[in-house]
Amino acid sequence: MKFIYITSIDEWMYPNIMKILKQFLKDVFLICDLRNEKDKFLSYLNKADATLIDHVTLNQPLFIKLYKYWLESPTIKVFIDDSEHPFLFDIIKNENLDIYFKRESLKLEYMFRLQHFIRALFSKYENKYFHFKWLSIEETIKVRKELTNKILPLPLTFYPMTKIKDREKIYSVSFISRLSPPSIIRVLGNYSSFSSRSKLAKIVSKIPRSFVYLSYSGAKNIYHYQISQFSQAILSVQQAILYLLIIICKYFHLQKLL
Amino acid sequence: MQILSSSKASIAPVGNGYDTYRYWEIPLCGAALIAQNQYTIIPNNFENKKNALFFSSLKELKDILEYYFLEGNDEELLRIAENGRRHLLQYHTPQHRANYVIENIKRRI
Repeated sequence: MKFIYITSIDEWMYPNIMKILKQFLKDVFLICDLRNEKDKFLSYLNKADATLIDHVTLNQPLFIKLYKYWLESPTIKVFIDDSEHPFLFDIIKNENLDIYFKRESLKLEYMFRLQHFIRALFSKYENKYFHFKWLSIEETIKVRKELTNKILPLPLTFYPMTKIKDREKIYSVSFISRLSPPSIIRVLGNYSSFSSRSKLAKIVSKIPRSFVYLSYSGAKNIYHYQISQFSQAILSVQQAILYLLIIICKYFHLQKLL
Repeated sequence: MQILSSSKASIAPVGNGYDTYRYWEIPLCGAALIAQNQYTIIPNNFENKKNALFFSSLKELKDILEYYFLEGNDEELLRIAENGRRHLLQYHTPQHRANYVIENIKRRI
């Protein structure tokens, strides 16, 4: 039994992938690095019982032709959505796909629907104002429903680049995070995380010997608690606008999506 | 990483997505994981008060922090942190993920 992992992952990450898969490499696993082995790709396909492609690879238009060969190949075809991209690409809805490993499989149906509703708004907005076009949310929902029996949860994990040392516990509780600045342009994309993170920072900072560190896009590595308080006020207005939008859309236009 | 290793507990917030690297980084660094309730399916996830602490509202977070840090129960966190690290190494390393993928593919062949 042979598996092939097809990837074009960043060069600096490649050694780590090799280390992780080392125990499988001898017997069952081959890695095809598309950046360097594009020519070998087809011969690899003929040798495999199953092939895995990751999202990183699929995201590169240069390799789209190769994916088409892949989808027509007789192997078991597996896709790994490692970066929780909100939208699926056309290639994923191909009926030949056998397994879809998904980073975030939601437990609750209403959360799933709410997520898609927010993303419906977001995708329409992005498609209007940005040059790239996502797969429409209607198609995305359709794809995910069709794929339901093929989706398996695959949460993240963490691979430390340096050895982690045991240290004296000098802090009680720490909270280290990045704030995306609230803005009218991106309100649908980041309002929620900004709001919750600045509130969390406020609570944690009241605990003795706590450590709070919020970096801020555009002004890296700066403790921006004061800024976040100010921005919180701006955000409240944006949230009100967003909720109003959701109510209007729900009853007039986008209800059919749900 | 140094800060996480030097903390008795650390908070992993959800972002624009639910699953974050920080969620897995904290237990590995030996701090007790304090996270928002997970809405995603995580096979062999951490368990509340056994090897992590979960909250669903800011009030619950406040209660957790007060109980452990203002009422003097922070030593309990060391046990939770240790259990968390052990659980992570038992079920959630990159090698476990690779094995999980391979085993599921084998079942389909």
